[in-house]
Amino acid sequence: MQLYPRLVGARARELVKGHREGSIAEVHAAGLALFESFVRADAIAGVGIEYTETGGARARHDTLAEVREALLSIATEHGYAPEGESKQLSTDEARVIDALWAVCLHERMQISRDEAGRAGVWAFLGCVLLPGLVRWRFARTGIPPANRFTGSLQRNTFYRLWWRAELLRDPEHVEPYWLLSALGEDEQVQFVERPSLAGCRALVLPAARLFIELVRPRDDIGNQMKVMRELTKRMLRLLGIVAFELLTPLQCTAMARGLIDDTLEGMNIAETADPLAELSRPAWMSKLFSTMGLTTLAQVAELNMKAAAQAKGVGRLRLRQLGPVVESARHLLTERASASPQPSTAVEAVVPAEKSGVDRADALRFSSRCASAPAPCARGRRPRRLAGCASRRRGSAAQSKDPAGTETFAPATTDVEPERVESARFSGAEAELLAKWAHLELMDYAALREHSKGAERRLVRQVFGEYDRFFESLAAWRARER
Amino acid sequence: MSIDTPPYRMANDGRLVGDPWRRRGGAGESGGILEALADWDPSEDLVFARTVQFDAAGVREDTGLPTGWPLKLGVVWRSADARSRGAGNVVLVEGDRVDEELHVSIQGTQLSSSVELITLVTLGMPIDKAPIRAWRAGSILWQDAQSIDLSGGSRFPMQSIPFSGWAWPAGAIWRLEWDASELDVAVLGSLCVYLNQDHPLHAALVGRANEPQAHAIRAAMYHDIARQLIRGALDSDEFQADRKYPARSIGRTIQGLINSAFRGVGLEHLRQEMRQSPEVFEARLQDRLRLFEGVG
Repeated sequence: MQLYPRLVGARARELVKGHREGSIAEVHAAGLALFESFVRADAIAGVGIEYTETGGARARHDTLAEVREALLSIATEHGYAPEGESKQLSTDEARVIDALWAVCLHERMQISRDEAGRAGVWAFLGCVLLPGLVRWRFARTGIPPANRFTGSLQRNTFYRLWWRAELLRDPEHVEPYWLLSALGEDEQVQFVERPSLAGCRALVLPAARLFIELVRPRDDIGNQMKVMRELTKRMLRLLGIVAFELLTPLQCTAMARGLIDDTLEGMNIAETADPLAELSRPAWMSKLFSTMGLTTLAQVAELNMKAAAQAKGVGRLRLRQLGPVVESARHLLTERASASPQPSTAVEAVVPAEKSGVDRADALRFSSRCASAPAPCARGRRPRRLAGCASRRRGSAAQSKDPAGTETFAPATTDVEPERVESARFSGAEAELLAKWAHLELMDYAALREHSKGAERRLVRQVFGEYDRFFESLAAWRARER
Repeated sequence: MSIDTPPYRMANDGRLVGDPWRRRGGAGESGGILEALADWDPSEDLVFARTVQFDAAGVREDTGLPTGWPLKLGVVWRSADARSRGAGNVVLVEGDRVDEELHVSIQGTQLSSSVELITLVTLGMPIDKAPIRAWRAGSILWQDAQSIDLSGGSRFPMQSIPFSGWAWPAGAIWRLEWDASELDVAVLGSLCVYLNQDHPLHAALVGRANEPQAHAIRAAMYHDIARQLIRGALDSDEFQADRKYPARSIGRTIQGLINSAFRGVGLEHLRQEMRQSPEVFEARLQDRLRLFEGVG
């Protein structure tokens, strides 16, 4: 880690007076003179420079020069003219510059968070190393406020960029800094400048990814910034009662997805423009698997095929990929019904006691179909079509909500053999595994890589990391079962 | 924490007991409660551990969860100044009682002036909604926190420099550097007391001399720092008594100063007095901050 020269605040404020009054070229020249003076003597006459005593090695002068040159080079490519007339930046161009500078600072400076929290470091960059860039970056709005140069920890031009890169860096992604260009200026502020939220990367990263995936493409949401503000309010409320760091990445993604859905619902915006995308919700699938038996699985498979026939592009792919999970789950239940007809308490685990008797009876009835008629359910066979379930989507008669708002599934009209049924139910742990699997299948990397673009593609890559871990869990569980 | 009281039942305090946190493999390794690491350096990673006895059945009973419902026992760390958080080991608990060693390893580059170690019991998997019962996976059912100071113990960051070399008034003995408009930022890194090493009384400020004169000079400096912070905050409309500033931030530090000096007095009352009767306010500051107490 490197320790950077720190400019004392009072001296920074004095330097800024001159920087604010000069033209861009004059400020550039003044900065260069200050920096050269610093390089010659490791000090600037009359200017207070200090270093943190411990925590790394002092940055060499050539390192400082490299950082300076790298940022200047980006600026020059976008119209900065140190000795002539610089091009004025539009709002969009300023955003692009910010993202490029943020990455450059983060990759080159090599500083700890402790050092990056020291105001003097950023005052040195703003007042000595690169004052011309500050003057240029904010020239569009007139003369930049003093705190864009000085060690203001919220407004310093370079401080805020370094911290954005640090907090929004997505290590799972092929382009780890993608969020800096995908999120707008105000959206980044919402995530990064709220102290209690900023540090919770376990929640912030999936929320940011999903915001880009689900909200950004929505033309029907005019004020997306309002959605972001409402979303971050909900995130802050949950931060006090949920330990996101103890959840798996998949659980955090599901939680972030739930928060976005709740936000949209709270703002009376339809949850999604693509109802088919609902099938990829892990929480929804977990509920599905844990409350249903084979008959309901057949319903889902049927629904799937119907929806897939209507869907286009990636939506179609997603739906088709749920097929193997449904088939495997079917196979699992069939094997179990044949192999272990003994009654067990598995149903207790998936149908909570406080739920209505009707639900539990339905669950038994659903499972009974599996136990009593394994042959039609064998792997590879097309699921039987059940009355009244052919083309229903989420929210239709195939499911309803109980008074607590929990989704349940409508009963099927079949005969019951309860004794054989119970052993054919999924346990809670199995259901969770199946839900994960289903989610992963939907996001299957190899298939989607060829067909997806942009945010979808990034999400797929991020989820792919979970794939191997899931199959390890599944293998371990199956070994125990045997 | 943005919500202090969760909308569900928490477990009783005694459901988890254990040893205090200890540092592994460092000079701070000891059997007592670990409150500070004076010798820590950001290039050094930290490992902490503690052993706990956890009454999982009791937690389920307190919080209305079914017998055997999975819980998670784990540790989360936070460093507010560095805006970083992370987790140590996590144990899924399905039995009734557990003895477990919790441990956490933290990269030094992720830390700043303090770290908080939070032992947590959370809901292991989601459950159906029921009145005043936690239902989300990860919902916190029990917690305790231990804060460890990494700042080296200084009350305020201080640095000795020659004021003449920086074109500061050469006869001044100290100077407080801070920005009253930035109350959310950490004290360490954004506030500094500069001591003039050219001043003949400099040695009295930095040394450990116990002479009455040295004592009086230090008392005057601490009073002046507190006075400048309080006056600066009262002058700023951004400072609010009930706002939740981050731990170890300038805002939180000043709230603490004002609460201890003027307990029960409203902020607006203080602002009014400072503006309308500055001489009375100054005298009150001397009184409440106990200027020169114990000197002479």
